[in-house]
Amino acid sequence: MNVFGTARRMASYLRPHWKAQLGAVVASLVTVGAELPTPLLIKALVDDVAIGGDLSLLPPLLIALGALAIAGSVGAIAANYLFTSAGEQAANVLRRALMDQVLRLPLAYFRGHRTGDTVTHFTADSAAIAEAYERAYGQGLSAAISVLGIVIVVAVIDWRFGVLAAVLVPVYMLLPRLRQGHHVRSAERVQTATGELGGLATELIAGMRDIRAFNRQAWSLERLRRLLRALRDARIYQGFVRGWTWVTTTIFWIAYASIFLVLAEPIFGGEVTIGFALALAGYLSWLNREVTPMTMAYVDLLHAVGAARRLFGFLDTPAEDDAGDGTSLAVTRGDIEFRGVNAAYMADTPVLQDVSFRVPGGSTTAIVGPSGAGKSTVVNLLLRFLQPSAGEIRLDGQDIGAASATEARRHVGVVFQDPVLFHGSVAENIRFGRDGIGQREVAQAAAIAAATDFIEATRDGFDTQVGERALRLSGGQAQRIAIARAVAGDPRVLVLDEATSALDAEAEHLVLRGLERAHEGRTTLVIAHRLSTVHQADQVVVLDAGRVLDAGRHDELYERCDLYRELCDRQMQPTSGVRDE
Amino acid sequence: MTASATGMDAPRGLSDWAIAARLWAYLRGSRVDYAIAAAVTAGNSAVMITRPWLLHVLIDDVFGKQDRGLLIPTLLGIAGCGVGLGIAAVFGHWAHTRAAEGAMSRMRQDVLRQAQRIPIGSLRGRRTGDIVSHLTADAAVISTVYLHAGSVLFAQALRMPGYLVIMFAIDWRLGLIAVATLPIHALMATRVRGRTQAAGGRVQDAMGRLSAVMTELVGGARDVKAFNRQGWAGERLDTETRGLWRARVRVALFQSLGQMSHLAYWAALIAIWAFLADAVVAGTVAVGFLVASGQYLLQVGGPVRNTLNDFVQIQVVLGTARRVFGFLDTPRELDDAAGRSLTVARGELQVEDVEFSYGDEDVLRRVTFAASPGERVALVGPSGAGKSTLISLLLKFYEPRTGRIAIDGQDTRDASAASVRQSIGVVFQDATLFDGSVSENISLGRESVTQADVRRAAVLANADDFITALEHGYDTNIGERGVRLSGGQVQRIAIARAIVGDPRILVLDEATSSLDAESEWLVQQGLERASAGRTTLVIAHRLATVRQADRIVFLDGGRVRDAGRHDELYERNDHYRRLCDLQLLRGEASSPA
Repeated sequence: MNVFGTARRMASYLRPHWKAQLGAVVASLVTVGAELPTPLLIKALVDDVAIGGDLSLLPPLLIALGALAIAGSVGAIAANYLFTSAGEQAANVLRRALMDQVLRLPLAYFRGHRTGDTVTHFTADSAAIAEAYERAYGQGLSAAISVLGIVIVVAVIDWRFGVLAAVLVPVYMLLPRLRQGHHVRSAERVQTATGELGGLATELIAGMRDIRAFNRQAWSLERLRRLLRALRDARIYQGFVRGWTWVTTTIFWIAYASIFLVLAEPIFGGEVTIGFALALAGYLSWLNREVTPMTMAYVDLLHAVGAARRLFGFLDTPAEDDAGDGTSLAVTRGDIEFRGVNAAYMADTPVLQDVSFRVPGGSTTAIVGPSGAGKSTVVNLLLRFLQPSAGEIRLDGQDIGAASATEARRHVGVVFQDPVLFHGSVAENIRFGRDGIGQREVAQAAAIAAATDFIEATRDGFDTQVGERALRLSGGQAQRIAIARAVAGDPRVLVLDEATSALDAEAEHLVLRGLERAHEGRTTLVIAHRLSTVHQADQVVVLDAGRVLDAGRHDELYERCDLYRELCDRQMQPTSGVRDE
Repeated sequence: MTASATGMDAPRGLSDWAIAARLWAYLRGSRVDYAIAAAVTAGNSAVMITRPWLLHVLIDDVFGKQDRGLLIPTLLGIAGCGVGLGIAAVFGHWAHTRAAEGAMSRMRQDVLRQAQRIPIGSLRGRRTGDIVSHLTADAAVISTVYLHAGSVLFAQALRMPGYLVIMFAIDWRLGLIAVATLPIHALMATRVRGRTQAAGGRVQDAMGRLSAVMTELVGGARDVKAFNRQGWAGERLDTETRGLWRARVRVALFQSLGQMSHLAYWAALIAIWAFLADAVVAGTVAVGFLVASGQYLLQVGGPVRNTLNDFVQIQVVLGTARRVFGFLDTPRELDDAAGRSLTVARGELQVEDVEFSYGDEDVLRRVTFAASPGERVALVGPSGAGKSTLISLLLKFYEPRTGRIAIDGQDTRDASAASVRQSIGVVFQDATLFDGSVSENISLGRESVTQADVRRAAVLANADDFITALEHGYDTNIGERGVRLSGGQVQRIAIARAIVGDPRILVLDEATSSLDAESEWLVQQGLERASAGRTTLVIAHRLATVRQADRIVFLDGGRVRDAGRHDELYERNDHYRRLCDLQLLRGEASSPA
């Protein structure tokens, strides 16, 4: 995207706040209108009062000056306030768009990108753009209005100087334009390094336990230092590129001197008054004062474009196809059927091939297989994190591909191996599963998940705050809250994706007790590598290398399926010794 | 409890001057750059002071007295001022950036060093996001003080006396009027100071919270989608950004108060004309003086407006720096490098009467056990028994309240954490992979580790086969942005990482708990080989993996309940038997026979 395309797209986020933006422009106009006559008043003071000796003109002139100064200041304060307000709000609209994008991106995206880097889109990148809104679209705009006014006034006073001013402005603007590529590139380098810094910082802080355990403090400092060097170089380059903009000051002073050079003879000859020359010079210095922020605004805009490219690049990453055609699903029994499903994360590496199985409503099916067999992909398909490349998945006979992702997920409650609990109370985390349920339903869900006892044992009960990654809860407790949140919406289908594998025996026992009640009356799909949790299933589907190898009851499969027997034996072998005693 | 100081309750004790002195100290090492920057600023000031004087010469001497000979030199002088200002701006900008980036690089490193030293328990939850924002957003704000706000204030301090002297030289009344405007500026400055600092601090707090909430939401995107909570996530973001908007707008309001200062300028100009018009008309004061004095007033008043902006910016920086310094000043764990160096040859481990509590919650009570060199000891017990805490004490993440932990007979209390950790290799349940190649993740940048050592460790950890099968072998990028490895592969790399330095003691903290049967088998093989000849301490909830241990220490409720071989414990300890049966009940049903 070219610079102006990007700038236009940035501007589009200001549109919802056009009232504030318009108000700011009006306020700027007031300021400009108040400031424009000032040099003329000074001219009158010099020529008529001081030189001409007409003291009666003094009071009205001074009163006018004072009134204009007040009007100008009030306008400027209002404009600054409104520009900032509109700019920050526009940046927040942009952040909201980013959030929507985060939630619509395929999960695979986050495998290739560090969390910290994505977070900087919300912080550093958005802040850089907010600044551009305030400076480029705000102060720049009002400076441009001033410049236009000055050029007109000067041209009215003396058309030759009008021409001079009119020529000067493009010269000023030409400077950054000539170096546009440098500006954008330098900003991109800075923002990229900033993003890297965010990513590295998150990694180093989150991995602090490992760093300390291995005495790698110096190594991690060195990694930070390397990145900081890159950031420093990028910023120095940016500083140097920006510094050149100040050459406009030189141009201004040369122009200033040339006014007097041109007017020297007429002044000596008495054709032109000194006050006139001063007024012109006054307009010119004012022009300089306004054009400089205007050029700087242009430069700021170019730098924001660098940040915006990163952002828009992120916004334009193809999102998950989750619209469907709007059909809603009527799910009463909870039959699941996979029909000849092929799936792949990357086009050339199929993960599932021709997978078909059926889970009758209310029954439990376990999916087992060696790692890499495609078990989790089955879950991703059912939750519509991934679309099948062939075949279809049916809920009560209806293709879920036709419905929206939201609709499909409404009927499925899922418990992950490592559920993310969010900062907030236990009750809020359970309500996460279904918005707007009351205290009673929350308690009920907790009871189903066998979580009531430990929740009530905490000091604040359901109001106890749990942390970012549920760090203050034990694994078993977090998992039971995850179960409560999965059943809170009373879904027909329950998916347990390695829900108990990270737990110790006792915690697993408690969680399994919670699950027993959660199963009741629901279709359950269990992904598990611990086969102990699988043997009560009504059906076991053995996956290997993306294909269904066999399906049946545990004992049948143990008899006839070599892979299944091998999986069972390998796991049971060390344990069986204990029973030998 | 670990008193984690958040940005909000950072010590208010630091005075503005103390903060300023610390900010100044960070310039050490960039002094040359900053000196250049300051010199440029001073030169800039000199030009600014000269310029209106040239204007006065032009009007009164050249045009007033019709001295044509002076015309060209005066105009050249004015143009020369412009050239000087331009050059000063370019180089000043460059030197300022260099100084600022140097200072910020040092401050960021201090933040990371501090994060490496504070108690590991205080690094949980939102604190992570907060520290990350110290490294990113906060640092970006603070750098503005080095970029220009600081030196502009310095330049103004230089210019102001110059202006005043010249104005008094022109006419004492002029001087008085200029002096009269100063209290107005000063008054406004003191009025807004406290509130601006608070507002600036609030902006950074809001940024820190935004960053923390976003880390949570981006990290939990899968859960948000699975439960259709997109709307909720959006509201959470909106709550934070609304707060940010409010704080930002407040700062903007304070900044535009600089405009008020502008009014002071106009008031002074009007006063000059009102007082001096008579004198000019009478011919006692030259017109040029009046014009030049207007320029000077503009210099005092105009830049005071800018100065006020910079002043406000400095208040914002002070508020932000208070957050960062508050973090830098939180009590540290212990200096990892301080203390005796251990010499560990055999790997004998003794834990004697160790007690520990988090705040008022007792976690370990009189824990005693020992591991002879080469022995394999398992720590077993229900969750909450204190197993992981014991490992934390062993690694010197915390100090025991009482009791003693000794390696090869040497008390670790007065040994350096670094040397204790060097003698212990540890494999956690969820190893963190860092952005980098496989071999970097094994060596973690230790200079003493050669490529051959990395390879040897990987072979021992049963990882060599899958690593060489990767597209770029040991140079394959892994970590958050690299090739995705399975849980079993990650754990085997973690084992290689733990043994590459050939430690005498190996600690396995639930190293295989989250793996599936097949990966566990592969990892178990790796562990078998890796632990040969080392004292090994195993924490595992899957009892199958610890059955063959030489000794099992059974912990419950923070106490050692029993210790011995598996069969002994199974015979005599009811709790232990219950724990075993809990697992085997389900094991039995799916086992053949």
